[in-house]
Amino acid sequence: MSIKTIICRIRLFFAKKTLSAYMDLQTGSAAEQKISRLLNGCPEIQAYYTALLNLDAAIKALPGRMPPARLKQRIDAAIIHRGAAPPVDHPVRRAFPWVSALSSAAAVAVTALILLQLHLRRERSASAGDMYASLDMYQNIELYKHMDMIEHLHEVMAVQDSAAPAGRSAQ
Amino acid sequence: MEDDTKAMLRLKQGDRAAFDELYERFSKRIYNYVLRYLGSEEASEDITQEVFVRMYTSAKTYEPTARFSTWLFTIATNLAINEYHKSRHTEQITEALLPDDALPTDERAVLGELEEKFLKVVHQLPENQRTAILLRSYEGMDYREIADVLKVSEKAVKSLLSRGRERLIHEYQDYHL
Repeated sequence: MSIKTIICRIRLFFAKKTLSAYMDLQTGSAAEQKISRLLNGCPEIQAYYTALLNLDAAIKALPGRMPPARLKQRIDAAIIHRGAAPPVDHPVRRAFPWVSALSSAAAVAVTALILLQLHLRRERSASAGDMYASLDMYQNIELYKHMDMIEHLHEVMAVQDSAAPAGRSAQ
Repeated sequence: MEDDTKAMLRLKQGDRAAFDELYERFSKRIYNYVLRYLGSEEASEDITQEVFVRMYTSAKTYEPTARFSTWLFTIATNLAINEYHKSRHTEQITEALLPDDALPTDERAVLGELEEKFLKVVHQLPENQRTAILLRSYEGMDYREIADVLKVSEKAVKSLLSRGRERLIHEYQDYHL
């Protein structure tokens, strides 16, 4: 084995990664120039590069196969089975995109109105409660007055009762 | 924006025709990719089905951050790796390699044999090397896209391809492809 061959094999050992990237056109221009020099100077490197090209060509030459015709039906069935709705026949059209914004704003306004009305109703209930409380108090006062009057009447009647036997006896 | 991404965004809006378009464009590619990865027609059919079901169910949340094909092949690769770990399909390779009926009889026999031998060799490669070679040679993906699918750096992809090819050349000679 000549010294040149040994040197070329050592160079090949370190150049394999770059050669692979060179084949894929994924190296910079500086690396390309270096690889060109190596390919021209070393038969070992040239042989390895040829093997890389043959391998890639062999892989690419293998024919592809058509998936079975039933596969599409299987997919559609699987989608439905999983609970996802099947794709609709027509896309959802948004001819008037401002409509959705307008309806959102209207919904917010209606909600605000309802909340305001509820608040006002609650306030009204509170003032009515105050009124009823006042009325209650008034009724109590009247009741007390009424009770006083009854008591007073009882006293008058008692006085009259005590005076009456004397009068009768006088008759 | 690329056509595939546009179609996926149409599917997101509920366009049935977009799903059919994407199926037409990618079903054969995904099916063959998984077939070459696992070497089993049955598993390839199941995984291709799962890839498209996931594509459909993910449509609502899809955001075009990467190329659509990269996104789809990432799903296919992850499913293929999971399947590979679940069951080894090497024994089914021969069954999978019945030649395509569309080819002339002589050519079918030769390609069937070649493909069988090739897949036997490919199946001896570590997962990442195999994925990188299949995505590069069959799908023509660049290093950036392969890196995205494998979640590694471009430098790592360069190494994976180089080591995988070196091993294939060695085995290639043994199988006299």
